[in-house]
Formats: sequence, C-alpha cells, structure tokens
Amino acid sequence: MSASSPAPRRTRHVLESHSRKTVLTDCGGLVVAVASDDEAWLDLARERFATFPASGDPALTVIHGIEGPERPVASRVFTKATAGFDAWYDPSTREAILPADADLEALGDLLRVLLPRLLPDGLAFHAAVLAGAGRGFLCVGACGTGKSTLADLFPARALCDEIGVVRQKAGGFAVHSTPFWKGRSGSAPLAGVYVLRHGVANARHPVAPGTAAGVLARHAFWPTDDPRAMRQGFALLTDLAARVPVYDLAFRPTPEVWQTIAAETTA
Amino acid sequence: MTDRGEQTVRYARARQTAWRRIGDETVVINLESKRMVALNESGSVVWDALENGAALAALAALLGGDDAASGQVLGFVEALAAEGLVEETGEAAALGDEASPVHPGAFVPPAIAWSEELLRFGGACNKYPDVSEFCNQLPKFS
Repeated sequence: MSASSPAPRRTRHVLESHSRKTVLTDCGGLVVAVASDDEAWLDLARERFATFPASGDPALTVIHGIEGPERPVASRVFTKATAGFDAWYDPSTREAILPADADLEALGDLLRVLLPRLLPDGLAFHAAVLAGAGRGFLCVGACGTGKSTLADLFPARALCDEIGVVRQKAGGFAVHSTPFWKGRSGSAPLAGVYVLRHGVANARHPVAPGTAAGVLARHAFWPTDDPRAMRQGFALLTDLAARVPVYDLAFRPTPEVWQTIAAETTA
Repeated sequence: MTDRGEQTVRYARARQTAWRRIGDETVVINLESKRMVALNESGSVVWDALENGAALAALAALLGGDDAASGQVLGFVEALAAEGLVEETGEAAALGDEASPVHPGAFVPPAIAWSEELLRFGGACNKYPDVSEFCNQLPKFS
C-alpha cells in the first residue's frame, strides 16, 4: 500500500480473515489477498495463482466462504441471476466477499471487475504483455486478433495474454501482467503499444497519437462507476497516447515477428 | 450567428468535460456519458475558443470562413452539444465578432475525428451480457 493511501477500516470480515489461511497474488502490480477456511478451495487458488506470487499489504482482500456483507455499504458486484454467483465489494475497506459455493472462475471474474477500481495510477487493457531485454510491450486487440497466439509464440517473453495493466512510474510508464490467463508475474518499462491483427506478413505502421488515444480507449477497462477514477484514467490514457509509440501490427504466427516487435520504437 | 429574437446564442464547454491537446487534435471526454471524442485541428480551434463562451459568428470568423462556413461551424457545435460537450450560455463571449482568423488560409470545416464509448470491459468479448463483457475463455492453469 502506498504511503499516500489511507489504511482501510478493518471490519469483522477482515479480522476473521486473519484467522484464515491466505494466498497472496500479484494482479497488475497490486497485491490481492484471497482468504478462505476451505483448504481444498484455497489449494486450488494457490495452484491457479502459482506463477503470480506476491508479498506485502494487499490492495484488495477477497474473503471466501461468507454468505453476505456485514455492512450495507458493500455493493453487489455479481448476482446469481446474472452471473451464477453472488459477490460483494466494499470500497471503504477494500474487501470483497464470495460465498462458499463460488468457484475459482468466479474469483477470476471478480478480480477482473474490481481491477479498474483499484488502479489510481493505471489502466487495464484487453491486451497481451510481452517483455524482453528490459523493454515491455502492450499488445492490444479484441478476441481473435492474436493476443494468445502471440503469447504462445514467445513463452519466455509472454507475461500474460488477456489483461495488461499500464501504470505510471517516474519518468514514464510500466506495463504489468495479470493472472489472465496464462503467464507469470512481471513488469517492464513500457517501450511500445501494438494494435494486433493477423496478416500475411509482419509489418508495423505508426498510429498518430490522436488516433492512438481512440484505439487505446476502445481496449481499456474503464472504472465507469467512479467519476474521479474516470478522470484519472483519461489523464493517463491521453498521456500514454502522446508519449508512447503506438503501432498497428499485422503479423504471421511465426517467431520472426519478434524482430518487428522488438525493433527500435520512437514516439 | 444563431439569433432567437433579439438574443444571440452563445456556447461554452460543458462542466462535465476534460480534454487534452494531442498533436493537432483535441481529445475530449464527457465524464457523465462516458464517451470520448477527438476534434480535428479546426475543431480544436473552436474548442479553445469555447473556454469562456463564444457566439457562432465569432467562431466562424476565427476559422476564416464565410457565411457558408458558418453553417458548418453551427453543425459542428450542434454535434458537440449532442455529445454533451458544449452548452448554451448567457455569459459574455471572450471573442468579439471581429476576431482575427487563426487560420487565414482555406477554410477547413471543424469535425469530430472519432468517438468512442468507454466501457467497463473495453473491446473484450461478451461473457455476462447483462453484467459485463470479457473473453469467454476458461482458465488454462488447471
């Protein structure tokens, strides 16, 4: 937790969670604690997040095995009627609650929903993340444009294949992986953004910064229920478009595409 | 200029907006409707002029346009209003109708270059159509 963030008020749930076994996982550079009394469930969670270990104070605590919120300020994130499971979140305490019958897929969905709210200095994108030689690349695209294909081509360089997080760091941006779906915990200074599409040859073309802002906006996960976070996200996104080179990347699914990705980038 | 009886209609930026100039374009967000648009270079000139409110005639003059151009400026301002980015105001305009053209060359119509709806799950796929949108994939770790 950063020094500027006020410590969340602890509720009975969190106090209870201290007596529970906990798994800590990295999600976009944030520490997420998952607590449960269900040993078998927690073992599955441990396995699910094995390549995303974390340590430190959690930005979010997910408590599994509680049937409802203690306080009315918690908002319902999912309902059985629409998603097949219930889930609640209390922003004042940064606690989320999952009932005992929620499975790991429900946990993953909950993390994806809450991630945009937990990033005051960043934005999440529908993107794969690649890194090599100290340079990180955010590869955005809708389903079917090649995120997982690209990650599969470069298992040693792929950090994740569905959601990448860009966060501000001193003098620039860093790109972070998330546990969705394949990959491992990691981050790197952001050297460039690629807008993916399949092609008959490997080729990249610069996208003008003004146009890039629109493309990035289309692929971002916006914290739509939080006006302050929306304003912060807008500032970050436009800064990103103005300062980081963005390219349209047509690629064939062969390892040679790395030469195109890792070529020198200029804003 | 749009007149309603004796009153000249003036426009100003709406409060629920934030913006940033990127190159020749201006990217504007409506924080209430959660939509983002980009304005071309001429549109950016208009946007700058709307900071303190302006009448259509002043905006058209700023772009160096003639009477016909005024219609295009009106269409642009109406498009901004439809996006909730500008609103009519009774405040005094910062620009006089005699404002000098910023672009004295050929008139380039102001336009919205692109617009995007900002979604919680961006361009991801549908999984829970009435709750959220993201890829319909299963975890591959297990």
